[in-house]
Amino acid sequence: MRTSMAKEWAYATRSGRLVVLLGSFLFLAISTPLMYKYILPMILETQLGQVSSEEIAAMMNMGQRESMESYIGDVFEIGSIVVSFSLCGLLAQEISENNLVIPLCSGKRYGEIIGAKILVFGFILGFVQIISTFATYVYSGVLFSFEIDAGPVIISGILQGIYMIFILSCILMWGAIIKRPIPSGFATLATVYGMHFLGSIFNMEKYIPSGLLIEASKMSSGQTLEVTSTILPTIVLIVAITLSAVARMKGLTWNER
Amino acid sequence: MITARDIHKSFGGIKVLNGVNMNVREGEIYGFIGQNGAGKTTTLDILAGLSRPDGGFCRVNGKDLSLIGYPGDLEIGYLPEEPKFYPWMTALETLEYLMDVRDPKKAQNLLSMVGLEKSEKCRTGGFSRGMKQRLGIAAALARDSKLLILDEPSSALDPEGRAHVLDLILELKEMGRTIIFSTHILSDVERVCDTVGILRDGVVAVEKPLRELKGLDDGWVYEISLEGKVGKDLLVKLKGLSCVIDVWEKKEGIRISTNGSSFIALDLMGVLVENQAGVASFHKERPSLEEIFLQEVSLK
Repeated sequence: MRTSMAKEWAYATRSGRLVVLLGSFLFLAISTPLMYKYILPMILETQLGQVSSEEIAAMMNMGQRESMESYIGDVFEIGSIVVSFSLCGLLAQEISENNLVIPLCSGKRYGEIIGAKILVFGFILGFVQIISTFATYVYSGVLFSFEIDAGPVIISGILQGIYMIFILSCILMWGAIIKRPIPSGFATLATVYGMHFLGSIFNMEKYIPSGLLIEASKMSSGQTLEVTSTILPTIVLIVAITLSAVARMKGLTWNER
Repeated sequence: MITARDIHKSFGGIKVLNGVNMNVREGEIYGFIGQNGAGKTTTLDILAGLSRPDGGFCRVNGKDLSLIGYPGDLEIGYLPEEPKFYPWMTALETLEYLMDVRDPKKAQNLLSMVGLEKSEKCRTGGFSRGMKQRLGIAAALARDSKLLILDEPSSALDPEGRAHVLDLILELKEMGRTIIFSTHILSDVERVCDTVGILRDGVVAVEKPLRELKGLDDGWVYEISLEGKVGKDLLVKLKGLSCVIDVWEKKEGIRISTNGSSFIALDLMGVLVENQAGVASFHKERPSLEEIFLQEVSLK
């Protein structure tokens, strides 16, 4: 397992995946407060003409909390796309390009291959989310004022990280089923957005993974985070999806030409 | 080490293997030959646990193929026809990953065995096909498996590399390994193999020890040098003889492969005299593996 994890870490760093993920989420984290503090008022000022930027800022009622809520919204909308397509080849490409033939004959197990990916990229995604959330917290605090405690911000980052691990498990499952990177990415997005859409219709957002982001946006230290009912189904889903990916790999024919 | 009985495999309704039977004994080098698309790679993939047969029984390295959960359970070394590695990993890292332990010394030894000691820190993405094949052989040896299945181990190598790999295969046999390899290069098989299996029409049509196949085979090949040009009539008449399997026109004469009939030489001489062909030399020899192979393939 150790060598498989080392291999995944080497892949994340040498293929630039770590930089892409960290760069994308930090860009969102920095640009969101910047957008609300300066760019949006400037745009509105040019459009409305007679209203000053101070008046527009007062009308928008923007602060650190609103900026961070907007960032978390971006994590769901844009972050899901970034993660789905930057990691869509994580398993699918290895299967389609027959990279796994020699490792499998050398004794690697399906569970080890997938487990190493979940652990390493799950750690990376969790780390990226915490760093990015903290970055947007600090930067929005500097631009507006510090309204939120740091503790809930860290918890918010962890919840977003768990949500990203759910996306990761979907990528691996679709990769094992479809065996082609880009279609796996689209299938993952369809799963993620589809679940959120169905959850909204049936008022079940609390029990589906995207409910984690709703909980993550409640960053007030005074508000109790009602996350258990969301985390538990998400973890169950992650485990079930990962096991189904392993089961699917067991049924595959390898070294296909 | 390998027992295969009545192995069948189809792809999209097309039958590729139609009842393959094989026996690979411990400690031998088994050459697996056949035409392009005959099903050699399909057979080797099944033997390596990478693909499941549609029917039949197979025991590899003492394990029933239908009972294994992972290809790695067979504890064999396998070299695919086109070995694929992670392009961002170095050769040394690749072997350490496959060995599942950090043992640079063993990995370096393996790399020097296959002549890649100078490329240990190079990423495999920059490797030529020949270098990948060498690394693939090192990877097959990484687990110290007693059974090695090599799919075209020398096909991408230059003559020097090929000779090196064949020497390595012989060396591995000396170390007690059992090796089965497929190839198109019949001279490689002649050089190192103990047993030859010829795959034809989805079945192993011939499976014999090489010496038996070459030495005890009834057929002879006649090499005849002629003083003049080879006439078309002569070729037609020679081909018409019941004992003749095939006739090749060569620069200074003809080469005739024959079956085991009696008085072949007399029949041939009779035709030559009848056509007034000036014979400079006339001698017979045992057929090469290539001739045996072509004979087997033409039998279909």
